[in-house]
Amino acid sequence: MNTNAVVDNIRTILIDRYAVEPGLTPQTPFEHLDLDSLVMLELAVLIEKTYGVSMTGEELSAAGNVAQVATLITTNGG
Amino acid sequence: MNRTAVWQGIGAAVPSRVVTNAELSTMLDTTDEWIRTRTGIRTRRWAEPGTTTGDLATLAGRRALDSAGVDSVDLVILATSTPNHSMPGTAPEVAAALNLGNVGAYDISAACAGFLYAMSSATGAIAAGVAETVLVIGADLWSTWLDPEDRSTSIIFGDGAGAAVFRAGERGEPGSVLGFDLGSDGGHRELALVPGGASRARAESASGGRYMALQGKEIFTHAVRRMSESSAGLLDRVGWGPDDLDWCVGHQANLRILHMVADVLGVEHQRLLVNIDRVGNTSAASIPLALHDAVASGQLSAGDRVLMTTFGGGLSWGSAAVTWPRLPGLHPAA
Repeated sequence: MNTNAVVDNIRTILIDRYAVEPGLTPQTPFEHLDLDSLVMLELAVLIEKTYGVSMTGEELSAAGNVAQVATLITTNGG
Repeated sequence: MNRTAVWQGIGAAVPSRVVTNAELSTMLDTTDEWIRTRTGIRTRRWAEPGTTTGDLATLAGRRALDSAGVDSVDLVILATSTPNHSMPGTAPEVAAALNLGNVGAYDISAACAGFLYAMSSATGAIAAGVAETVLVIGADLWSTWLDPEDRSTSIIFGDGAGAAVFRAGERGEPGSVLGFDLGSDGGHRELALVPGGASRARAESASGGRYMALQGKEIFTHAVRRMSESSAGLLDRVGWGPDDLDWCVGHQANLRILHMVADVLGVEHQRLLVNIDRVGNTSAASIPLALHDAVASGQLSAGDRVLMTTFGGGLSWGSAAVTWPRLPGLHPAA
């Protein structure tokens, strides 16, 4: 799986679905994005649907940014 | 076997008192904006003192009987987790209040999933020839079981009742019930429960715990997964693809859960039936109340393919597939 494609997809989800500023970079910390407490839970569902990789909201929060989440997804094979 | 339950009437009842987010924000550390964005709820109904679950159930039941054009049934099944008493069940009291004579009547406890469990029992009774007509009611009055200082529950739950009359009929006619998927996971019962007031508290001589306790974040993930998996399995068995559905009515617990379930299933958001903004989470009443409101607003038409899916404490979940019947005019819920 292409990590750059995963990064682009997750960036698109955050920008389109959660109105995050388009200036979002793969390294922008999630904590700077003003996301509410349910977003990571929802993102986990969308990631499982798209890539077949099961992760918890806590794991996504701990990953901290889009680049690290993409690395987790590709490492886990999805 | 072609004999199955056919939906013949629907009724609903909610208390007249509207509780707004603004009112709750004067009592709890919350705001209208916080509640709306996290849950989709704008108002809910709470009963005035003196009203019981049985009262709401009776009112909804009467309206369902009127909608169906019948004044007798063979069986009454009431789904509730807030019964009038721990013992006996509330269904016999409701049956008596509705002047239904000495018909069989019993409660089902499956929390927010209760209505579909009761509906499956009714369908089974009809298919087995135990009954020709069944009144199924989902009713809960959670407002008196909420800790007034607990933001996680007080903003979510509302009181209400929804009811349906089912008659024996054939698969394929409008209103016919085509199938169910039911499931449970008691290993996660702590995610939504009332700790006290029953056998475990007595066995352990525990005191207190008379309020509903909810672990909302954990419930969110389980709810999305179970409702989407249950729905997908049922759709597969019934032979409907996501694009075949006219409507999907999910348990009205949280608008964002409903949107996630739709996204996983591949169902467009505009095909979701939603009334959580007006009534909050009404537990066992949720599915029939949402259907009732959709009939009243003209969304549902005879022959529409409807998927119902629900999830609640237990954990318990379930889904049902129905083709919508032709129904006469309805009495408003409030």
